[in-house]
Amino acid sequence: MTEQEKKELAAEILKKIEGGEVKMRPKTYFIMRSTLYIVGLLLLLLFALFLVSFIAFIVKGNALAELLSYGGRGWQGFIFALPWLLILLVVLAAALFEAIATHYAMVYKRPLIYSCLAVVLIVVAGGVLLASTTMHHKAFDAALSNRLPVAGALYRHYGMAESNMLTVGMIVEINLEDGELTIKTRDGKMVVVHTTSETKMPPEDKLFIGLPVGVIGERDDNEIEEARGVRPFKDRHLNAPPGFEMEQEFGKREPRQNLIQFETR
Amino acid sequence: MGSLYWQEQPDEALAKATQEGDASAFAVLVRRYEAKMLRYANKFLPRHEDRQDAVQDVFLKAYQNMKSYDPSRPFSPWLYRVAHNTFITLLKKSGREELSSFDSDTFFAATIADEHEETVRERKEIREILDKSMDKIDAKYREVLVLHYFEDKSYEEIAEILQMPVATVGVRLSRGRKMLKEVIMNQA
Repeated sequence: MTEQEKKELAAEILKKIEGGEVKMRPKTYFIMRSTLYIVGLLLLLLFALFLVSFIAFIVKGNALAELLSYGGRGWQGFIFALPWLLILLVVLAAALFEAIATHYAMVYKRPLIYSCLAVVLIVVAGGVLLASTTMHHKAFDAALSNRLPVAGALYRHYGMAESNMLTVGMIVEINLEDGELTIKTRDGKMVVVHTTSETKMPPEDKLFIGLPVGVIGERDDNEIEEARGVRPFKDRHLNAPPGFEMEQEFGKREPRQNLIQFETR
Repeated sequence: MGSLYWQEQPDEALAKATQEGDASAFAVLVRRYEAKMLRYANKFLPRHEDRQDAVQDVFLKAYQNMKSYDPSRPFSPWLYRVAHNTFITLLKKSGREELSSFDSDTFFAATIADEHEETVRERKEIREILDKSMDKIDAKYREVLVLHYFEDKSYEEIAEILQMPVATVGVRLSRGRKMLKEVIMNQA
């Protein structure tokens, strides 16, 4: 390139700058852009954390993981019961987070696998931690009584996750001689559960009317012909399935007393 | 300040003056880097006819975004980064070359194989072969080879320009050299 050609390009660029055709972006533009990136990253992280904790709440609260100990059918039921749309949203949020984060030197200077693993670890661990609080239970209760405006529909739609292999309900009748339990599901249906000697169940003295349980076994309308397992939920605020207002319906739990009541009925 | 004064100043001082509104300082930067940018464009965009316009675009974008440059850091990698982004956009627009959005080289950890120090003669030979076989090498390897052999950039500088780990630069250089060897073998 000759000196003359160099001068020509420089002159052309100067002409465009001086003619106002090209303007230098102000510092505030870059500050705002950086702020937007950081806010975007934070929002994406919070969104992913919320979704993971919500998924953990659904899985734990509805005892979906119980299905995993019931062989191939159990696994199938578990996979079908998972909220796949929410899982997809988590993956998208994490991918977008990673894509934005790669603009920062502390991320792009290392192999991307490290930052990807860090994102997965933070989102999963944070989400599980968040799910162990009562936040989702309270939000779910509020959603059921229409006191949760924006996220209410999400809780109502996904909160009571079930599959054809898992029915969640509250024991309303116990007939141990015939090996039958009647449970009331969260949508108010009565389902008769037939148990066999193969059914994995809690000891008799742990069964009582008003106990929320997850029943594993194929449901045919209002009957479970052969329950493969009955899993009780232990504590109202930590393990009770979402959708039950137990105290209101059945009063305070007193296992033996309820069982005796039933047995003398 | 006069043009002669600016010609003696380092890039970073010129960039700072540009940020403060002195367009003549920017003109000196343009003259200083124009040949380098054109050479970079020639190597990076071998199938493009509009390389002169691409270089003009690089300088105009550099001017537009000058306030995002931090004068406490070297100016050259910053300008090459602007050029890289401009050329990548051109390649994408033209659709003449396939550019993968996922790159396993940057994703996984890699170790740079111990390589012997290249002699001046070896570097010259590689440059000559590269010059003749430019359009036969994938864009992602071509760019690293060009920055290393034609622009004399170190691994760290290339990593900064391409925003990737230093180890990835090493991997790409090594693969790029292998590709060059294959090209020569096929021609023989």
